[in-house]
Amino acid sequence: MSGDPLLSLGLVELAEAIARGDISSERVTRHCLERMDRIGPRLNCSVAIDAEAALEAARDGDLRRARGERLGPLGGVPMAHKDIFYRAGRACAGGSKIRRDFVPDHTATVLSRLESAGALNLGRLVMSEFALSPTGYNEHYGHCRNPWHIDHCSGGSSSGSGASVAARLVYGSLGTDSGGSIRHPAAMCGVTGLKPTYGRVSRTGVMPLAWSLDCVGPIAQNARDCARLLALVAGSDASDGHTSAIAVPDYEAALSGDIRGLRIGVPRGYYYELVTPEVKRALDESLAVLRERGAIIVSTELPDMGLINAMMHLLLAVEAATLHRRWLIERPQDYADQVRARIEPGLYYPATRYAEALALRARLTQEYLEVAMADADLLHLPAISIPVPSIVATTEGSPADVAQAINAVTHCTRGINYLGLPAISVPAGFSPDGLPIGFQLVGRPFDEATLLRTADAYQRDTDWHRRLPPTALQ
Amino acid sequence: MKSDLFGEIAAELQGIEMPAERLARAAAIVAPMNEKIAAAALARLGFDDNPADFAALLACPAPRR
Repeated sequence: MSGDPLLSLGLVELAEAIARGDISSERVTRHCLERMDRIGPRLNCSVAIDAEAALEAARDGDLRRARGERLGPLGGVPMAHKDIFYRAGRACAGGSKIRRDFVPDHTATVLSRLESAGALNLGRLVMSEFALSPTGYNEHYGHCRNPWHIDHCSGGSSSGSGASVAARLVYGSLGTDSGGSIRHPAAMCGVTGLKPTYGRVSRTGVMPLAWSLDCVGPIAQNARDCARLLALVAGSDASDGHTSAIAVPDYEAALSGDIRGLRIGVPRGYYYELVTPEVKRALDESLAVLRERGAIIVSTELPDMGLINAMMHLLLAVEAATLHRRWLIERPQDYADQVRARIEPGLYYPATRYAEALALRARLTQEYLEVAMADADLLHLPAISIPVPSIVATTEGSPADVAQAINAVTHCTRGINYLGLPAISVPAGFSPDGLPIGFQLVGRPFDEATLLRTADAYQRDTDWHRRLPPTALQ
Repeated sequence: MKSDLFGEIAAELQGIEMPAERLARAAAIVAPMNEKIAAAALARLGFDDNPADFAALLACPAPRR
């Protein structure tokens, strides 16, 4: 722990402190910029930071508050986001060499919504190339580093988001998740990350990976912070036809701490196939905390997860190949081989397979809800089955070994994107070598409120999410 | 599935020249996935199943038993 109060504040706490006048936005923004400048390079977590613009916005907010104006629910809070969100007139590379100089002509809806709420945007954070690595692997900008141990993976593809929040360089960050890209860095870096229901949050102005799977969501220190961020970015958007018109609940109001009687399903089998003893211990301990809080833990079954994963793989590969075919023809040398290997299979599936994967989606999702969640309000799963791997383990060695390590990272996350369900990754302890372990809660469609309520209740009785990595204290 | 078939698909249908080792790598992934999904579709896909059913299901799933 640290004596610096700015390191112990979460996003909501900071917003309230600024609103009360306990601290100025300029002071906290300078604090974050200094940390980004000093610690950020060791983690390789940022692409570009616009300090002057952030400080100007902070000073403007402080002046408005001094005049008696009410700031928004994120008034003056420094954030930074995955380099996948467009801002008109500013470069957005998507972690790629190919789009290094791409300058969009419009701004992502989610960025506009956060800024309307008063958030400050310090800049662009490192991500995996085209959002296609679950470990944080990036040959063009360098691999993002884990703040708990810089020789280990940060998780990806929202790698800079996870590392920056964990090292307390910013108070929250938006990421995207098409197969686990919010949940992986959250779990590996020891922070909280929420993948909403498909259609809950607009993707307008977000670089696509796979239209049928892509979701935008928050990464922050805790469930309460995620609740505030989700409430601000969620909801229908006329410019994104896939967003739902379902009303956005008051997620923070749902954080009562009361989970008595809530039925939490624990499906063994598939999700525990790769779980190591240290991860199993943390999972069991987290279930004990939830049980102590009054939740009812029930065992549940699973449908054919191999089929669900195959469907997810096909949609991702075909849609990514569709997006990337021009560059695969004209600039194949500008992709990392590991990234191209995930796209190229999509060139070969018959169109009928793709249509079948889409047409079967409702049936398979219904089956998952009926089999795995028939007797449960939500599911408790590993976030990642294995301890955080080293960067060497996921980049060197035989292709088979590397593929195995990468598959282990996505084992419990990727199928959820095909099903479209909401899921949250929650810090749940550490492995013997001091790297974070997380569990994952999966909810019914558009029931993010129950996930956040359960995660918040757990975090009232644990302090894993409050612990600071060594890099944050240097 | 043979990787020379993949070479023909890549060159003729997708306009991409691809070296043999990358064709083989893709074939090793696509062949079992294609087989699995094709079999599942034959067994389970209904004539009236529609991709739009998915959004409708998310908006209105069956309640917990």
